[in-house]
Amino acid sequence: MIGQTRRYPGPGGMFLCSFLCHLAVFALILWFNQDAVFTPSEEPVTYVDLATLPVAAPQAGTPAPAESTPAPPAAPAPVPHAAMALPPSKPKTQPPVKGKTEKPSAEEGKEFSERMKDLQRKAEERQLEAAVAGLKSRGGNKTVGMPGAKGNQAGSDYGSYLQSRLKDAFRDVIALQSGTPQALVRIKVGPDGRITDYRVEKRSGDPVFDDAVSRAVTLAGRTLRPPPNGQSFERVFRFKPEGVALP
Amino acid sequence: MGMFASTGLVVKIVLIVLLYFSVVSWGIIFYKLLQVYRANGASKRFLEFFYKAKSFDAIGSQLDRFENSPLAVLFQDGYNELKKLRGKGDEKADPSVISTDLGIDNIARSLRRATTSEITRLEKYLTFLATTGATAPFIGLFGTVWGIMSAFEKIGQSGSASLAVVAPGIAEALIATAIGLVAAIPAVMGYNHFQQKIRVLISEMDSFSTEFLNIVQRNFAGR
Repeated sequence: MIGQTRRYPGPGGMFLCSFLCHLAVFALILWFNQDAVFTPSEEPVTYVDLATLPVAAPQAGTPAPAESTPAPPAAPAPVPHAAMALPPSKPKTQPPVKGKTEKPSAEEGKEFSERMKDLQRKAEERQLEAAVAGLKSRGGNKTVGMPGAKGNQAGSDYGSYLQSRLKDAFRDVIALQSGTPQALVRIKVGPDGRITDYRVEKRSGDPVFDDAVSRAVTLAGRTLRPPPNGQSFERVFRFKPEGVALP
Repeated sequence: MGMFASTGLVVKIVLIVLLYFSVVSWGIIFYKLLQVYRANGASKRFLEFFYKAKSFDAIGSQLDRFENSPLAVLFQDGYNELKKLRGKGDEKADPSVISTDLGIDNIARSLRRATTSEITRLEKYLTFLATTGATAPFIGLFGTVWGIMSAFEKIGQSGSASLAVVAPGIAEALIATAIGLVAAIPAVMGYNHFQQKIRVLISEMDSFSTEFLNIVQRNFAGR
């Protein structure tokens, strides 16, 4: 009976053939993916904290040589507040005889207005000095300026620079499984700009997140500039899904 | 591979189901390609042989050469029925003549049965291709919707809406739709292709049945 004895593989053989084809295609895709490794060009981006511009305490950096800056003008002698408020009272005199006192009174008025202007200018200078002193006292004696800076430049410190580099790297590799993991990491950068020490002070509890943090530190460490003054730098950073923060 | 490993359980099941659909669909496509291609070739050769042959007995002895042809199956069934009718007739009558007019109907019924049987054989497994083409994209879409739901849930938990957090989850979810389409597109193309080829074979079988009955009527029917 023909039709029952056909000489070609049945469906079973074809399913096996199809399965092998799928395996081959899968292997091909894997092979292509291995070759095509995506390497984005990384341009370092430094974030500048505008809140600290200009630096809070310009005197924290190395002051500029004295000869390069002109000496500030000597501060005027303090003037009592009462003196500014009212012009000096003149002794009351008897009204002079008419015809003799008209010219001297005009001269006195001009002199009086000049003195008033002088007093007002001194009062404004005093207020300005008081405001500057207030700003300086708010900064305290902390050295928050850029190490090695002249003391009169706008900029950010090395900690903020390092934070910005870590933030960039972390954005590229972030991964997490749990809700809101946080990890505290102490990073020490050597004088040559390499990360010499990296310690996790507090784990997040999410192994995927901790791994991402580790990869971010490694990635950021490739393009770091050395700390100023040839010194090493050490600081703790808080890694969160939103980014990297200074604790 | 990493993308597959990082997907959720539901998306994994969807991907495995779609992979099964794809493997079986391609298996059917390979099988049908071979079956329909050989059926077409053998039918052409059989028709040439049929019109050149001088007797049904000569054709009947050579049928093994055309085992893949549905027309050969039709001929065999019709020829067997014809032989039965000739053997059943009056012993004094001419053995080469069918004794009754009902004999033609018997042969016609036999040819119809063989045609139906061959159509069933040729169309076997094609419904799976149709099912794959119709349902695989929806199964993939289901996986994607589920994956995106999970991704958004994770985004909500993390509290971060950065691209680095949002993109991987959505990419993992979209792979289900991609695999669904990869399974469905060849299945639909294969189904349409084989339907057309089988339609041609059915019309050939109908024509052959008519021709066979005509020959029987001319040469064997009683007067």
